[in-house]
Amino acid sequence: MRDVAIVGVGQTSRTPDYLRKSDNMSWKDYIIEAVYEAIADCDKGLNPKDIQYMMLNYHGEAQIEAGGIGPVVADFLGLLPIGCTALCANCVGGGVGMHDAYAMIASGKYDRVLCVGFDKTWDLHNIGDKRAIGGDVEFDFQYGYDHPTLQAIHQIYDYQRYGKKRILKALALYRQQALWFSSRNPHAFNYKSKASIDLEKVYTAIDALPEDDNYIPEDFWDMFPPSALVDGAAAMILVPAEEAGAYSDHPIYLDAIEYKMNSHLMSHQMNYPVHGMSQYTMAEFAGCQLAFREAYKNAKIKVEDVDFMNCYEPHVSSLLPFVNATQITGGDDQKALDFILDGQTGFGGRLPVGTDGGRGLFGMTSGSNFGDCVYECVKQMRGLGGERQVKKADISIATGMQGQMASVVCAILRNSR
Amino acid sequence: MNNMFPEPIYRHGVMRTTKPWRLKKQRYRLIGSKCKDCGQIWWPARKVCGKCNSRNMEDYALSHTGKLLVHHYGPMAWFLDPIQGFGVYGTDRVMSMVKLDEEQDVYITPTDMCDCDPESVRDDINVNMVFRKLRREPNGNWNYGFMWAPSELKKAEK
Repeated sequence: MRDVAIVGVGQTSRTPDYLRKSDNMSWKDYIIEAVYEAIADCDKGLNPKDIQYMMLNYHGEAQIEAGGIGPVVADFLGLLPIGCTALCANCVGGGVGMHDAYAMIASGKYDRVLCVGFDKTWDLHNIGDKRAIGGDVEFDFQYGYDHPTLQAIHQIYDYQRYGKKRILKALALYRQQALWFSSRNPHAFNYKSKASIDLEKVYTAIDALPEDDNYIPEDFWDMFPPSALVDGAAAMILVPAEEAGAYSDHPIYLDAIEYKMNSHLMSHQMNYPVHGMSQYTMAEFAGCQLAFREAYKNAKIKVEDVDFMNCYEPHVSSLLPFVNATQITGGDDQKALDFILDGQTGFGGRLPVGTDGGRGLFGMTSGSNFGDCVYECVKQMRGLGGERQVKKADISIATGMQGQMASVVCAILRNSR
Repeated sequence: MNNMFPEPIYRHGVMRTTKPWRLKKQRYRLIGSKCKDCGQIWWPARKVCGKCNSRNMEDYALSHTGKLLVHHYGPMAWFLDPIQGFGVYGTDRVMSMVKLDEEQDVYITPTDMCDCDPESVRDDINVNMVFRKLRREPNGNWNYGFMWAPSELKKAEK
């Protein structure tokens, strides 16, 4: 097995100014922009014709011209006759693509693999289908439960398990941290945003809520800037580590990348009677725990080595299992929530999370969510984080999840060999 | 489209009438599976045991009673329109997950609580399975399926 490195990353901007042009841009334009930025990011040069294979992903579920888009994309990128694997795995598709690209490079099959993920929601044939699943097609969805409604149930389960007020306070604090990062990221939806979160006012409102009731007044959410569901693309180029210096003065090494799944049925997430999974409920998220454990093992690192993380975290029920899976609190999920409530995921904290503004406030683009996390990790590790540059950026985690807590890819990135 | 049907035909790709029909045993009577080799009970019914990989499965009639694990009373759609054909009982619903009265831990895929004041629903109450209309197909057909009702109500009816 060969070691693997990232030598170039690219990303479309998610700022409102950029997105205003979206009526005049197709999903193809987004892909071209991200891919050619990644190629240009190989500062020692990479001829596009030298790319040997492409991993391409998008959200799935009735997405744009679904089926057989590989040759179309390879054509408009000028990469024919390379092969392409086009895949759909909701928000973690970019991670699945990177996982397979890693295997291709590590095995010696290819030497230069391009990964690209994208989404352009408003070109959908049928937006009603896209929101669809987030769960099982024959039961959850056929019973009228789509992604947001399943998420609502999950959130309430977290209220039960961790306490509603603690969960909401963690959400508020994390949102404030994410807004801080996002407003300092020139690519983010909230760049230079004047929005703010009055934490004292939010906490007072939370304290006034009854603990034993799921009710939350609608205007409660008005105290937060909303998540930005936006269009875009992200790309990266993987090569063998020993050849990385030929393409970039500052390659980032991919020490491990692991992909683990649990059932997409919410009922199975509560109890899956298989060794290694049965101890987890949907709150702890088996796929997340298992992917992190395997990644740490293969990268030969411990939590003490990890400097920061970018993950999928627009709601606390997804942020919490990721923070818990890092083992930063020894695998105790209640303590992991305390860790968040203590502000340790913010700038200057022990484990900054969502340093690009997080998926919610950077701009959530399902197909490129994972690629966006990798992009941010690479920029930070090269010291290009600007105002939001974290103090130590030697080892980072890029991770993401699929649909309604269905699977996780966990990548461990290292600054030097 | 063809000469006989020149107009564009629109329907949701994942909302086919055949799906609920094919699954009527599970939807109407809560039939799951039991592995004849390891004894594991599964919901929904399946052809391969997820625990021991046996294909030696049989139908298993699951209990029609259980405990409400978690519920959420709220609108069935937020930033998107409701899924086509739902909303038979209004736009708000009591979304619920139930743990069945079985020796093994069996949780049931989310569906609605009904036959009660939504505001009165509390977690941990005992519930009974009931059979209700779920959704109206674009062609007018009704889809049916199970929901949950508080057990106390069931007793009162008797």
